[in-house]
Amino acid sequence: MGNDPNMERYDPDLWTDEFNFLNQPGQVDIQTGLFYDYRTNVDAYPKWQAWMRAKQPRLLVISGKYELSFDPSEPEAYRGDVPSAQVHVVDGGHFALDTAADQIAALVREFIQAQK
Amino acid sequence: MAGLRAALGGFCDDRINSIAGPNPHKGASRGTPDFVSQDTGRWALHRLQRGRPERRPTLLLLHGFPSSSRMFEPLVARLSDRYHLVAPDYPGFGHSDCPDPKKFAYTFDHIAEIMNHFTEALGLSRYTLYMQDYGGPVGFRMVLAHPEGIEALIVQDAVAHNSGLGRELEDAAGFLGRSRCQRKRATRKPPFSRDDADTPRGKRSQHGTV
Repeated sequence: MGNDPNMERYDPDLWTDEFNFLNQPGQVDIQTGLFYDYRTNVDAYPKWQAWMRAKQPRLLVISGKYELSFDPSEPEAYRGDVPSAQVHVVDGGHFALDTAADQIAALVREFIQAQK
Repeated sequence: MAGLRAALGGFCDDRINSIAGPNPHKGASRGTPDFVSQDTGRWALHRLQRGRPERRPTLLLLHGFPSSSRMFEPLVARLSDRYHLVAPDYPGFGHSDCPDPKKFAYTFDHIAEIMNHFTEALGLSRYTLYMQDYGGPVGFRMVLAHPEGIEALIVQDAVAHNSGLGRELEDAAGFLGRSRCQRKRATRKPPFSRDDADTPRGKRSQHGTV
C-alpha cells in the first residue's frame, strides 16, 4: 500500500487473506529464503536491461504513486532502456490494482489495442 | 529486512521449521470451476484463469509478494470479456503446493523455471507478460529463457534497475550491494536473524546497514 492516504478504498479482506496465507506452517522459511535470493536479481538487472535495449519490446510501465518499496525514479528508468515505453503513474500503492483497477485495465486495453 | 521480519515473524516465529504436512489449501476450490490445479509434474500449481484461450492475446499475470493470483482478480474481472488471462500461484504461494524448503530451492531461478514448465503444460506459446513486484524477477528470467514467447511486456511496480530499489529495500540493498566475496562471507550467517525485527534501523552492522 505504500503511503497511500486513501486506506478506506482497500478491501479489508485483502490483508486478512494474505495474513492467513503467511500464517501457514513453513511460510517464514519459504518467504525469507526467497527474499534472501533477491540479491540474485540485483546481479541480473544488467542482463534484463541489455535484453530490453537490444530487443526494444513493446513495453507498458505502470507505477502506483504511493509506492514505497521502490524508488520513484524506477518507472522512467525503463524508458532509458526502451525509449518508446509508455509510462503511467496511477492512483494507488505497491498493489495498485487494489485501488486503481479501472485505470490500469483501461491502460492495458489501450496498450493491447495499439498492438493489434 | 526488519520490515519483512516484522511482517512475517511477529506471528510465525513459533512455526519455523514446523513444516509437517500438506498445505491445507492445496487444490482448494474457491467456489468457481475456473479455479483448478495444474500439475506440472511434481507440484500442483493453482491458477486463476479467465477468458477463452482463442481470445488473443493471452495475458500471463505474475504476482508479487506477499500475494498470489488473487491480486489480479480486479484486473481479470475487467478484461476477461476480451482477453485470455492466466495468473499462476508460484510454489509456496497462494493455493499452490508449498514444498519443504529443505527439499525445494526457493530461488527466483527455480520459480522462473517452473513457470516456464507451467506455460508449456498449458500450451501457452505466445503471451503478453504482466509483472508486478516479484513478477519482475520471475518474468524477466522467463523472457531471457524464452524470448520467442513474448508479445509485449507490462511492468507494474517491479524493479529492473539498481537505482529503483527503494526505502523498504534499503536494508536489503545495503546487504545486496556488497562485493561478491563480502556477500559470500556474510552468507555464513542467516540473512534474517531473530534479532533483526527488534533492532533499531540504522544501528546494525552485521548485515550491512550502517
